[in-house]
Amino acid sequence: MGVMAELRKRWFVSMLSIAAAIFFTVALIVSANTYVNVMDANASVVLMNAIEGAEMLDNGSILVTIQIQLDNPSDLDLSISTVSWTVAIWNYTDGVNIIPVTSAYNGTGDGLTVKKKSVETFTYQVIVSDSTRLANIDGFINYSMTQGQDYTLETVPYVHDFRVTGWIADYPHDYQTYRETYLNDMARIDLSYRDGEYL
Amino acid sequence: MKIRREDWIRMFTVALFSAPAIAFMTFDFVFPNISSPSLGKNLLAAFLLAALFGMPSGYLTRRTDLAIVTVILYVFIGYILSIIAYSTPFLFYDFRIIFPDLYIMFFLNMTVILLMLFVFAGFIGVIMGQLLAESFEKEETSQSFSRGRM
Repeated sequence: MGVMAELRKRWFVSMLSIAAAIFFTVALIVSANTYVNVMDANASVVLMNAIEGAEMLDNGSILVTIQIQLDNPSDLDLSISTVSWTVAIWNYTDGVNIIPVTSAYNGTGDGLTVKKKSVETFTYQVIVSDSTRLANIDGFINYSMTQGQDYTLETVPYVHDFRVTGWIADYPHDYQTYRETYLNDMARIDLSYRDGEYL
Repeated sequence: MKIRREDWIRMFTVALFSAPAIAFMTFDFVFPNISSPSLGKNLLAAFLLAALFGMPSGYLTRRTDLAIVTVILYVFIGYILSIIAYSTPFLFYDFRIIFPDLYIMFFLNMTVILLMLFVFAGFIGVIMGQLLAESFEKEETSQSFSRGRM
């Protein structure tokens, strides 16, 4: 008996087998397409257009700001996990002496998502009025003056460190064993902007 | 024993029924978090499904040696399909593999146990499929005899 005749004779099992084959073929294509989208999100999501600012207020405090954009041109939403921003002054004269200015942190509880094919703008503004911190910055300015650098509170070289982490489309990412942690890394975005450079 | 041209056609046809399931399960084993529907790296579920997809080989092939070759054939085709799916971003899109050797070795390392499991479960599926075919034939025979008496 020929193959087709045999399949026709045993049509019930043949049809079930063909239906299952079609189902798994579609599942494979959909999953491979998802894989491509995840790879695309990993490669294309970037931080951009950072604008840093420091403005002296009338009462002697400083208004420190950063505005930065997260561009998500991919076909998947991003669930933002953490956003952190720190500002400091790096004094290299005797080793590395870091003078903290301000910092901010947002965690997972905020439920922020960046929709697919969209740009999200993050803006942080902090008024630094703590006398100890201002005194440290003044100390740096005075010390710099002895080294021939003429800074003001607005022109001090503040180092902005902005970091955003998140999960692509919130795919499962709680794998714990060593052999499976690559799955967490695949669905994760971790972008930084530090001292004028996008990392 | 001799394998005729018709036997090869039958083996390839039956292998095409089962190969997509093998391909999907292999891909799913490497990327359980992004594939859907996912078995979630459950080896027992993979084993049972692989045995189920071994059944058409036993059911549609009378000769046991050919059925066993069919199992090896569909596992091979399924594995190749899964490698293609695994490499989709690099084969069909403009993504670049940084370490090609490591990339393929990683896939082989992750799935080698699964590959053996598929072959073993396929053999069990062949036995079950042949039992099912014999059972159907017995039933058909008894029914045709009972119709003849009426």
